[in-house]
Amino acid sequence: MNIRNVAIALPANKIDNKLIAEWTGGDENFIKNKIGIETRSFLGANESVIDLSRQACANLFNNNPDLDKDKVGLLIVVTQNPDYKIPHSSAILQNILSLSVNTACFDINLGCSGYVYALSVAKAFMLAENIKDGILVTCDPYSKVMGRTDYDTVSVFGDAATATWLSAEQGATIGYLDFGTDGSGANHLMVKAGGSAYPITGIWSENQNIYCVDDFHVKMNGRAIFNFIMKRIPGSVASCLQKNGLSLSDVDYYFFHQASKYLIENLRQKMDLEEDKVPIEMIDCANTVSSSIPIMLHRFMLRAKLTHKTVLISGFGVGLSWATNIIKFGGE
Amino acid sequence: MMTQLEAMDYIAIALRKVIKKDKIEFSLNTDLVLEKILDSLDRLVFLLELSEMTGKEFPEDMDIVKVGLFKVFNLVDYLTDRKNISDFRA
Repeated sequence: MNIRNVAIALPANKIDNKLIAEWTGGDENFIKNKIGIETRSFLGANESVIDLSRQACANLFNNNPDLDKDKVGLLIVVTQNPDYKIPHSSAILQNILSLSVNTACFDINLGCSGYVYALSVAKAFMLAENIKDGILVTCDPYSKVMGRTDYDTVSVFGDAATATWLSAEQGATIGYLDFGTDGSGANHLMVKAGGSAYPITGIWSENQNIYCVDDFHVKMNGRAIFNFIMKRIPGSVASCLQKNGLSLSDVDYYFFHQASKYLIENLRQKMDLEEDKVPIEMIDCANTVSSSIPIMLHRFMLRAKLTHKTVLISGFGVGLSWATNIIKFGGE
Repeated sequence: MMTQLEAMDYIAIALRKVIKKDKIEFSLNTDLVLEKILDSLDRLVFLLELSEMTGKEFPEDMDIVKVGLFKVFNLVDYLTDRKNISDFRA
């Protein structure tokens, strides 16, 4: 199973560091120089996951006339912030995109590791069911769950959607996955309210479960997340390379989840990787959760930088969850 | 048990690794945050480096700035076992 092409969509609503500084009291130069972000996009009040995902899919279809809607057999949406609790976003998107009713549609509830996991899920499903073409969508708009005064999150995250065309016939090959989960850190990146533990109906219940609005906002323990990544990811990279019969020097690019420039630089130094093999691609879009790796793939494919290249992709975050894989590009 | 001098050496090594300068001046009276030696991101690496070198844990649910562990004399007390982490929680 192969990655044939990737398209992206960013919301029109741009948020610069000046505004972030006004909201949070943070330092806009620090955000640019150390976190590595100049601007990010937030969905508008009336825009949703489906709207942005539709746009990414429209871009994918427009850029790939040989992708036949009628032949798409699988549609996966990776998100933890769907338009509705019920039904799944992929079902709504299937209808909007006018895909066949024979399309298998399901969502994957994962954050920053979601794209890397979903590639393997899609690969297995397509092989098992003999599906020739599939679409993998990522869209996780944290702007919908971020308190605007919470510097730790609002300075870091941005919204985006991506759509990846998966094909049985040609494209970049998907290797063997290394993956893992450490649920002991689940509370370190969390939106507490809105699920069955703290249901929305509880807000209106009398004398029970009255929680504050802040419980509906994402909360991140930055130090715990940083420690998790620095401790887990070098091992995951080594394990993935071993599973795929490769060594560090066989890899042309390391596409790490774009958590922050500072984190990626520290990870690179810890692993003693060459600077030009570890690109940072977030200055105009910030940390876009499960969309960050496909955004890199899209941009590097556009720049024709991936011909005959071996790329390691590694996603990590919410869960705490991580997944690492190898993508091998041919001459197409 | 670690001596005060050894603790200061570990702190110096961790600081050099984070700040990337050969010479960093600090004393027992230095507050690494108030004196702007470590910004909010550098603190993450500093604590991780120090923890990996010394084996001392800095609990992730603890606000290290708030409990005063970026004041060098407190940090030295913790690294040399003169104080437990629970002393800072209190």
